[in-house]
Amino acid sequence: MDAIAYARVLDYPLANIVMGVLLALFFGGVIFWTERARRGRSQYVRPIAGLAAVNEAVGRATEMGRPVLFVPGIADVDDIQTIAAVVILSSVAKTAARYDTRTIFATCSPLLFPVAEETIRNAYADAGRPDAFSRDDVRFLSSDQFAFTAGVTGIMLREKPAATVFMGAFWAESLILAETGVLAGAIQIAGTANVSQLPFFVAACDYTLIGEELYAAGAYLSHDARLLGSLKASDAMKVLVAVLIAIGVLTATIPPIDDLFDRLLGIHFAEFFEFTDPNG
Amino acid sequence: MRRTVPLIITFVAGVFMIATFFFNPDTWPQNAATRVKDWGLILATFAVVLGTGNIIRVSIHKARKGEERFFKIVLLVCLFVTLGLGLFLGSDEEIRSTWLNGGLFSGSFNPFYWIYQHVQLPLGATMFSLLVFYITSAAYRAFRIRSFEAGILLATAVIVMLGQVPISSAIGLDEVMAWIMSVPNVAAKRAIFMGAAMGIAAMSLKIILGIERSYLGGD
Repeated sequence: MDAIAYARVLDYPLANIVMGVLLALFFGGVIFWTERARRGRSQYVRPIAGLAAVNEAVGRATEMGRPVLFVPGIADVDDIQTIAAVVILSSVAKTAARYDTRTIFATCSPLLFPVAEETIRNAYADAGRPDAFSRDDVRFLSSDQFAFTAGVTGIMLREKPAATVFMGAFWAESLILAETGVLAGAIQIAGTANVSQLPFFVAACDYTLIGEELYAAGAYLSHDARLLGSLKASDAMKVLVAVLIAIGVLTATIPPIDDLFDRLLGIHFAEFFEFTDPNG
Repeated sequence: MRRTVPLIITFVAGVFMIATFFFNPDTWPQNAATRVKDWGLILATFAVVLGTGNIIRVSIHKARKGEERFFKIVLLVCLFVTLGLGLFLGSDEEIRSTWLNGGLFSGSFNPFYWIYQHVQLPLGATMFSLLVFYITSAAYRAFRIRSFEAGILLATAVIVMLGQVPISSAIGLDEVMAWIMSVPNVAAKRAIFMGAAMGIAAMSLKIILGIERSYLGGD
């Protein structure tokens, strides 16, 4: 019995079965490549200019005797972009600690605030400079979007950070923050998966991490082989999804190709994709 | 132990939340997942106290050192006045408490609500409206023709902008704009969405399995 018929007998959404299979494949891939990396197999990761520039930005801040400002977006800690930002924060703070440079962290989430304080404190301790950490540099400003924006722009204009790092989920405040950073003369690195805000960051920042690069950043900066290994699984899954999209387009557009798949594999791909469409 | 317990909690909670996706609504796993999300909201409410404590501590510290003293005093006065009014009078438009109504705050006038409507909202709107000036300066920087790609970007932007005005239909620009927005624009956006979705799934799995643990602090 094929998957479509099986789902109909169970009266269970086929979309869930397909999602379950893809999820299992993906999770299997992540574990496989992570284990492979753990055993010492080298992984090539393409250079990401924005992440390579982190050291340069912190070095510039050190030379100028000015701080680094890190803003993790305006989403709460339950947003995966914010978690990715905290992972990057750990690396940035560690680099800043090694250079004996201040890291100012501003957040609009009271839940993220203690997490970030602990992360930066540990980063400074790991770098062997626990005394350089200042609690006053980890600041909760406001939960209100534009009150927070006003607070961050105030910090930028008063403290004049030499480098600003915007990583996480941003909305309408993205351009106000990035343009103020330009006015403050900071080297700027931004990263978000909010597609509508990417053009603003690209226009106003020196380097921008686009979409998935934000999630890859933690692995890239840490140079941890196991984390780098997991990036391979993402790439493999993207290839699989691209192949599925190509098959879907071809079978839905050209009926003879759908018939060919039916004869060879016993699957009507056009029907399969139509059936798995949650809006269909 | 300091690391192991959070990692175990993360693993159990993560696997459970993924599993609930595969259950129908109104089954016990789905209800339990909703309950867990409610716990998050309660935790977030308590965290506001931590955040407010941080604002007060940093402001007092800076004011004592003489850094931005005037601004810090204004901030603290505003914070305590608003907090006090909100705690005693509530956030409704009219004061509901009978023992306060008719006393110092006569009638139904609620100063906390007034502050929200006449100070906080206009200030927020002002910040938002500043965006138009920032868009102009960012657009100027983005559309400077420094390369062939920048030229294409400028040409596309001009078509899309002109396509928004009524006269564009007379020269057929509205259809070109509609095609740009619905074909190349959507294709690029979907590619980014798909890459980001993979990134989210990989990141989530690394956190659930404890491979990525830098968010806990340290190595």
